[in-house]
Amino acid sequence: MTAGPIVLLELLLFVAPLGIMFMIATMEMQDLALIPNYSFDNFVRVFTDYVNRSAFVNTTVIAALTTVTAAVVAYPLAYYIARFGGEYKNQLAMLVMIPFWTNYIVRIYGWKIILGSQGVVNSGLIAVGVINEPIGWLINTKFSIWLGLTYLWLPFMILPLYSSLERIDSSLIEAAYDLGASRTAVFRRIILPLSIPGLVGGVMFVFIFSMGAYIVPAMLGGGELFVGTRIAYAFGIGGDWPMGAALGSVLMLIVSGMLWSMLGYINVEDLF
Amino acid sequence: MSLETDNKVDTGTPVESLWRVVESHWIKVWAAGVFLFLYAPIVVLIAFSFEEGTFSTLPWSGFTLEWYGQLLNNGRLVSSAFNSLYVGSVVTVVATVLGTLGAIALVRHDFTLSKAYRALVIAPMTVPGLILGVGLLIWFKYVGFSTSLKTVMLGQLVFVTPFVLITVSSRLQGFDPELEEAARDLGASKWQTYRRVTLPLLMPGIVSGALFAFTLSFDDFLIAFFTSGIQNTLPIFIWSKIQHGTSPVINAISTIVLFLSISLIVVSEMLLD
Repeated sequence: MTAGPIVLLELLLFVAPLGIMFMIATMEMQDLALIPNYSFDNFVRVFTDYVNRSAFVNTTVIAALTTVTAAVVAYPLAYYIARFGGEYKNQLAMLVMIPFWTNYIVRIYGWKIILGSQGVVNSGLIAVGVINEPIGWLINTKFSIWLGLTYLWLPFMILPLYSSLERIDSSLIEAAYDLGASRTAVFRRIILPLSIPGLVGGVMFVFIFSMGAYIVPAMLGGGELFVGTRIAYAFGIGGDWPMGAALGSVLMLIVSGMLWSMLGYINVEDLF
Repeated sequence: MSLETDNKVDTGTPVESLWRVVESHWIKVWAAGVFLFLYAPIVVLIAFSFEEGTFSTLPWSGFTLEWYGQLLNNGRLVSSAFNSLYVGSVVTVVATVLGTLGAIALVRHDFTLSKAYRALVIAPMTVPGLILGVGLLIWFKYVGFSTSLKTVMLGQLVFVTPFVLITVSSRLQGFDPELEEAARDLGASKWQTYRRVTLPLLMPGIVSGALFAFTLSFDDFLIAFFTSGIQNTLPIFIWSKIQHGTSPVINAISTIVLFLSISLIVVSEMLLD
């Protein structure tokens, strides 16, 4: 059976580590040693401790905002490439792919240079004389996390949307016009419904990736509470693996729930 | 919305064709704006890597190649780049073999657990890298593996292989299974059919899957960050540099990394076309 090796790989190095993470979450840590004093206290603390609860609320709100923004920004572009791209379709799709293929730490660092208090936007506006003081909310705020996440995951919204829009038979649209349908009707009754698989795929990717993001909130988010940075803190300086594992487990449950509810509607193989 | 009033006009009248022009134009402007957004940080990094002043601020002070010169003398940078190339090559070879085998199973065989199998190979693509990273860290500690570049490779395989599998299986879905049946009818063994019919037809998918694998491994930060022990890969090196504040040297490294990735994609696209 040709599936054997990959199944073995994923069972040993994907399922097992996640299982262990759930187990560690029920333990305690004292003096950097794990103590098998099993309880669900850490899971309770995920929802009762102020910092953890705020981190989850912030993360969910920002991830939802990011998903909506990405869909709104991506849709017209995907539509443009699919319907007006003509002979340049492939080149335009590749232009979307290129940033997605280049190191994301490097690109987020680029945003840090653009948004920083001495950054391109602030120093440019000061040089021109529009402002005297750097704009305070450009970096280390929820705004910058939202912008960074939208930027980072945008290609994951554009590409699935593009591939489902591209598959729409243009004779369907012509036929609708011939039968007297208005432009809005054509969009609402034909284009939008046929692009739903791409939209669902994009929403799934962007929301899940935003929920678990670490680089963007760590580099652009200043001290804003975010689940990803909480988990990394617990496994690093914080030295509380069980707490980090509990946060990770809850996040994992949310992600799996999303995935489970959406995989029924779409075929991931068709999205790219 | 004025769109509603325009509907009443038949297709082809001046008003309608005017609308077509407006529609195709706003969407063009929108598309240009999105591309500007996607490329803004890339352009900024490249531009400031040649900037003379040590701060990446406007206005420019002058042109210099000094920061690129500083890179060449940085031993840690060079060794972390080699580590990344080494890890990337091993991961690419193993992931491509495992992913291709897995894709054949996914598309060509219907078995009782195929639903669970599909979920198992798609899930690692969507699980946040952070969770995978800490999960693997705990697991390696638990089974008593000391972390090194080897554990980085094992960890990266977990999410890289499914990407190869998806790339190859979408190619596999595109061609007719009857080609394989015909080979069998003509007396080819199962292995001969794979080697002489299935694999050559799959080659474009396999090549793009392999490039996918290499880029994913080369760009990976989170798995490497948690499972590399004291050894650095390039993204970890860049990350630790960034922690010490912005500097034009990072812009120069970033520009080189950007250039390498972009040329890799362009070359692969040309090979595949």
